[in-house]
Amino acid sequence: MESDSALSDALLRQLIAVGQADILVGLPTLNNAATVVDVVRAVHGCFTRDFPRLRTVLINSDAGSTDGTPDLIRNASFTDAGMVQTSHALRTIHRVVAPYHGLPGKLTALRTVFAAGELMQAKVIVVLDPGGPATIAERVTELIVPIARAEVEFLAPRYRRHPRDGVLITQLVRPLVRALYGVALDEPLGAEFACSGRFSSHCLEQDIWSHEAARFAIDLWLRTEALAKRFVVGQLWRPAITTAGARTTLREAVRQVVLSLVESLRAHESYWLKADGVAELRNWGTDPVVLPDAATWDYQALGEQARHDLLEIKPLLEEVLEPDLCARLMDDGPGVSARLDDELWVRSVYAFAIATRLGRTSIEHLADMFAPIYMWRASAFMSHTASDTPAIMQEKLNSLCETFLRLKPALVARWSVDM
Amino acid sequence: MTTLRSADPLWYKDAVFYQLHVKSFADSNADGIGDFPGLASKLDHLASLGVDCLWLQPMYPSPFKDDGYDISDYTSIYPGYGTQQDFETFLSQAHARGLRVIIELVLNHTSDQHAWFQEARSSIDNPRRDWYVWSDTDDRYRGVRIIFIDTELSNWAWDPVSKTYYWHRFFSHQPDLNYDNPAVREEIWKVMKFWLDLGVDGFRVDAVPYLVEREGTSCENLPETHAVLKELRARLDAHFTGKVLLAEANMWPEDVCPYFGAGDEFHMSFHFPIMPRMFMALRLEDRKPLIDIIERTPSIPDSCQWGIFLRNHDELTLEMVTETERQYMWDEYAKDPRARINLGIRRRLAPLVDGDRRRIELMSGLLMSLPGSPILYYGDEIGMGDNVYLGDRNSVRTPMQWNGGINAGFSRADPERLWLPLISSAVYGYQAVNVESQEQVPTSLLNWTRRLIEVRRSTKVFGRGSIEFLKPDNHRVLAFTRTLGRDTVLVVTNLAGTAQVVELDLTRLAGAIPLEMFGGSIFPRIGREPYIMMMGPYDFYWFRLRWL
Repeated sequence: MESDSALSDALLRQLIAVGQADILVGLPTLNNAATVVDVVRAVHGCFTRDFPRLRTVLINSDAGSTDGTPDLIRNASFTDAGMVQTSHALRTIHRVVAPYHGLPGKLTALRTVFAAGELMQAKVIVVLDPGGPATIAERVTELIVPIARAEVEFLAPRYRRHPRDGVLITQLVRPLVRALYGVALDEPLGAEFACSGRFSSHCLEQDIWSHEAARFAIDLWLRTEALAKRFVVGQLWRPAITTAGARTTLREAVRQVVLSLVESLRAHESYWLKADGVAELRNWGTDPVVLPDAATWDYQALGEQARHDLLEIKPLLEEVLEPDLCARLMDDGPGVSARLDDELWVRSVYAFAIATRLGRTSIEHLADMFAPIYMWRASAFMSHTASDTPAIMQEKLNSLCETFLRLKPALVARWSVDM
Repeated sequence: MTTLRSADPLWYKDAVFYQLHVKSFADSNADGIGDFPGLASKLDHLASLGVDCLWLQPMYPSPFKDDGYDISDYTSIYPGYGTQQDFETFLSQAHARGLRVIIELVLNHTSDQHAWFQEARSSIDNPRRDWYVWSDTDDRYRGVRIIFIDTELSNWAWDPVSKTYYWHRFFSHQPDLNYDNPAVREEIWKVMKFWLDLGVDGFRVDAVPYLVEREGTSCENLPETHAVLKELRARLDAHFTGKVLLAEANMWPEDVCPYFGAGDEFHMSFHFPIMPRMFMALRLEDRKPLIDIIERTPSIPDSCQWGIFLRNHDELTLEMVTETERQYMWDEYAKDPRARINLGIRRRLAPLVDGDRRRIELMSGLLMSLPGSPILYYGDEIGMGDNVYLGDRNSVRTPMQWNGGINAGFSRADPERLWLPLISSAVYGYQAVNVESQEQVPTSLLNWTRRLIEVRRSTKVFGRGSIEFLKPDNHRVLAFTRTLGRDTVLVVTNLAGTAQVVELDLTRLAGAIPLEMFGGSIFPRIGREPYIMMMGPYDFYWFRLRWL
């Protein structure tokens, strides 16, 4: 019945009216009044100018905004006062605005978009970030075209980042996913993506939508699922960003990322345990080349916080980590001048991965324990590269990726013991 | 290189079969008779139609007193159809397009021109004498029914050469083989292996119930016959995988079921009685005949499958109906007495339904959605007509109509040389009904049939799913679900030539969203109230039910 469905009766009625669609653009929102109108206009411009013969629909899946976001989408005019309209739609342009059922969050919003795409048999599904770069038609179109041409089945954005930016990505998520999945995916996290209807149908069939952990894990899971199930994955250059999507505290962000990673590692162990080397992905778009400014943040304060937290949880760490690793971590001495080198950092990451596998401690608890180690590593890396040029920093990040890859066999061996 | 569409050994459960006569399909050498090079040249048509497996009618040397089912050599190709090399080339080209090929295997009898019979009759001491069933009198096996009552007076025929009687269940020129003789069984296995080694994908086995005779019985469906068939199946399984044996046994489904054994006899068998009931339900505008026969059909082993069809090379057989039903069918579908032959009707699909496109589509929709693997008869994909003025069942065996040019594109021979004349009536003539013209029209029957097969192939539910009837109050509407695992399809068919409204009780499917499978339209979610549908004349819908 309706209560069990990803699609409310109100939404279903609108989908019945729309019928089949070739391109579905999903726009999950939550209080995005400041930016959403520009995105809607960009989508409309993309539809009318670049895909006038195709059946298109924009579906807003709103999580209960209190700032009038759905009304803004519903009522947005397709042109602003100063804009000369140069193209006219051949077909009715459909805009579906519907709140979604279930727990608020990206997971539910995406399931709604995928379910709508399934019913409408959409060939291309694009999910936009209402606060992201898709504020002009070209940036929507470039997400659609590679999928529409069947050149790729999952298109993940990639960004030109300053090496000091996106530390959680560059220190943990990117090198770990590269090493384990064997693919040079730049941005394993991210709100935007485009995919084929086939991939969307595949995802709907998977047992992920009721997982509590998936509430945070869905962006990463989508990408790793595409890799693990051998869909053709590509990357699209997007405009440079700085700390994109950072909307939570660092500690909470680390916690969510760790839960996401564990969810994916568990789901895809049969794939990544056998994956070898690192394959490059095909890229679309143009590398912006010009580096954005570096993010500035107080890494000394972060280190202090990490030092305090680590000393506090030392007894807990001793229960989870092997004695020699724990001793090395504590002997290195968390502090302003301490240096958690690549090898020790990677071994620590893999040790936590094994701890999640062993199941002696809850994953949520492990994620909380991991946060100060990450903060220490982030602080130490920033401290020791403070005077480096971006190019040298990038080399060090590349070297970190190599270390993750080099030590992977030990992780595989440990992980496989209990299989 | 073989690129078959499915590597699944149970491929036949999902397959759409296509039955054709080599001699009627395409003639490459302008002798008026279709041949293997001609057939090979038309494989693209068959591949684009979307069928999975071709069923070739007999291609063996034969005196052709029974359309080739009177075989005079089991391991050769009839010279008029080409050489063995031509056959092998055709087979490899079919496989390269993902098409499987099954051929005929006539087990019960040979032609009286076969060398085996010629040797057998030559002397009672001949080593092959015991390959056939002989008697000094014609009173053994008394009471066994005569199948071809129009032409045969007895199951025994006098052999003037050896001065004894021989047993034949079919025409007197088709002496029955003696399956009590191990040498016969061994020789038949050698025949099967010969073709399997060449790469054929199986056999349609002709007239299987009659292999063994026993005094005091009907000589049909005997345990000894099943033992012979099981022995052949066991040898097949021991040497090959992914092959299929399709039984021809024109009987009630409960009587056919033993031919599946425990999955160790035939892979498939025709479901004969369902065919006339599809036509009956259509003319009666009443679902009852169809539901009755399907509910009467026992379950079969998981690895087995029914073969269902609308029309084939024989008459629309009315053997498996009551006398009342037979008379109704004759009155409604064979008003012209020339359309009647034996206990059936010698007409093609399109003329049977007055060329009505809506009824052709409805019948094809039923064929593709009811339990079993559908078998299309060549030419029905373009709505070919028939010619009841031709003898025997040749009315439905006329040359394939490829285009509107000379000889319909079938042959470059003088029209007088064609083995059968083309259909040339104003309605069904090749100038109006042909592949080439229908290729050019997106809404043609040919393109519609392609789409129908494509939609059927989009799910395994039609080939492998269970069937549950809904039985709404309106008897003109046939509604059922097909279910396989989490996949459910709802089929609703208006058998009437008038608009109908129907209330369906879909409570057990509450929450599902119906997605119309041909056009992709979304229908309102199913709730606990009756689901009301309005249907135009002969409309049918297939809905994939989604719980999203």
